[in-house]
Amino acid sequence: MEIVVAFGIGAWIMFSGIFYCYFIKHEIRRMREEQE
Amino acid sequence: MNVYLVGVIISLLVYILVGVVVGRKVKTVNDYYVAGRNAPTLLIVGSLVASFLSTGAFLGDTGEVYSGFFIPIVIVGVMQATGYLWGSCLFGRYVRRSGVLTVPEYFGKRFHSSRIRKLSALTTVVAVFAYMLSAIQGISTLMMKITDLPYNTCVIIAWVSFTVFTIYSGSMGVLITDTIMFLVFLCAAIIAVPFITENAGGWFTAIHNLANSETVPGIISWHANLDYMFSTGVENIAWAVVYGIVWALVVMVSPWQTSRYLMAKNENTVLRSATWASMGVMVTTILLYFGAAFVKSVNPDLVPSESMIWAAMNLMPTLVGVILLAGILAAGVSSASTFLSLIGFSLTNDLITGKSAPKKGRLMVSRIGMLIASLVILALAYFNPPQIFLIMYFGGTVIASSWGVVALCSVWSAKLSEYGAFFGMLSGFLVCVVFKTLDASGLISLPFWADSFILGVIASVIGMIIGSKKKPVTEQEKAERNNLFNTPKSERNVPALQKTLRQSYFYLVFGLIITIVFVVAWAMPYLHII
Repeated sequence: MEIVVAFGIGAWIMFSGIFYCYFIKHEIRRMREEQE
Repeated sequence: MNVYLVGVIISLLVYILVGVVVGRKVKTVNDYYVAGRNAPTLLIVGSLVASFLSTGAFLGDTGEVYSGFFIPIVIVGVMQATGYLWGSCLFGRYVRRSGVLTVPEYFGKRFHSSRIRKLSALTTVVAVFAYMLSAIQGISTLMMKITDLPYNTCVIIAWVSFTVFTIYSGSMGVLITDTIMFLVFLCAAIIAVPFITENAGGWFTAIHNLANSETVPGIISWHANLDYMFSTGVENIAWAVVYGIVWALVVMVSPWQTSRYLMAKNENTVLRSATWASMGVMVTTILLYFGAAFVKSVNPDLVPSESMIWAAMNLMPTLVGVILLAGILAAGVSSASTFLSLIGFSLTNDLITGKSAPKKGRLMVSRIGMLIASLVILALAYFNPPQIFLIMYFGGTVIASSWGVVALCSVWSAKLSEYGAFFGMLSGFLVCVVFKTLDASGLISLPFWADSFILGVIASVIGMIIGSKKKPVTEQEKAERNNLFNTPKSERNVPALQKTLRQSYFYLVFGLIITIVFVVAWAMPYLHII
């Protein structure tokens, strides 16, 4: 169970990071569309 | 003379001196409230972390770990730190874009409402008062332990240490002193924990001893010590997840965090500072939590909230001990200075509005308001007993309940009206305060799944839905929300955003490193022993 918890902690950090990257990518796309 | 006392006094004098020097540059209300809206990433990161991590983290949380609650506290620590990423994207960026001086002013502008501005200012003052009391009591407790001075004398010294420069220099001074203090306590954690580990016999020996601990069975197991809070591991983990969400919400929307974004020089700075602040909080707290657990294996008979103070004075060279104590003190002083400035700003910018608002000499009025607020806090701290952990949780949960959903929906919901936002915030606040008070006073005992925070959030959502149905969104409110999504020309900088994106990939690597650390340095050695 300790292994599960360790991976769970890491997974939550990575999930938050992936959301953040997705958000910035989305903003870049939106800005490009606005400029065009 | 006590060398620890000398070190602590020198550090306090440095903060006061820096604050006073910076304060000379304050010329306008804009400088005083939002530091000229020109702060770079480092200062925003420093202030975000320093205002969030207080003596509650250094003394309260480490005390919980010492008592046998390691993994639940780690889960809360990690979840709260990721709140920076969610908060900067979903709320902080838009608050900065609205061009206001305070977060309550944002609510007022977004909903064209004076009453929601005042309500959010009032909830800020209540929550920050509670939080600030815990900070000032934490600083005083620490000083009392290392100086043997009476508690009340330490309260006065603590009060002077942050009041002088905060009142004089406002956000400009707070940003710079916060950053210095952040670097001090980050270095303190990085330097001090290896010495604690060495005294515990080395990393793996310490894990071995804790895994076989008879005084606190299960201290570093996934379920933690089952005699401490709940009798099952599932309940302990569920508690951790609930409080992880609470504190992530606090990081996302609380005035003492989002107000830092108002000072950022641009929106890219907001986004970048969030990733570094998240990593900074995680590194500091994880190091401290391991350190506190290892202190348990060295000396199991300490008062839990004093374990790190004892470690600083007994488990490391004097200079390192001084740095650690100065770091703990810095955490408390930095939070207290931010809280004091927030109370002062809320009082003078948001609560006193309309005809009663000063037209001239606003800077002086702000300083006087802050001085009065600080004197009230001094009186409360002087006569209150030190109950760091409980009071701190009160402050955080109130903001999470009353502001959490309303703040996020103020950006992301087209259906939330002023009426809904006001009643959502009010009901969340009242329900949380009432149930938290009843629970804390022992009149009722709430299960973890009906924590006062959860009840407050439910009440807030119900208030928002009913209120928005009763009085729907007006054209003015709709236009104001649309404005939030219009990126200003100065912010349409694709190359800069691409650079931010590249930096954010590093965060994924960081997540991977933390996973490996927990698997290799905690889970595997623990399972091997068991």
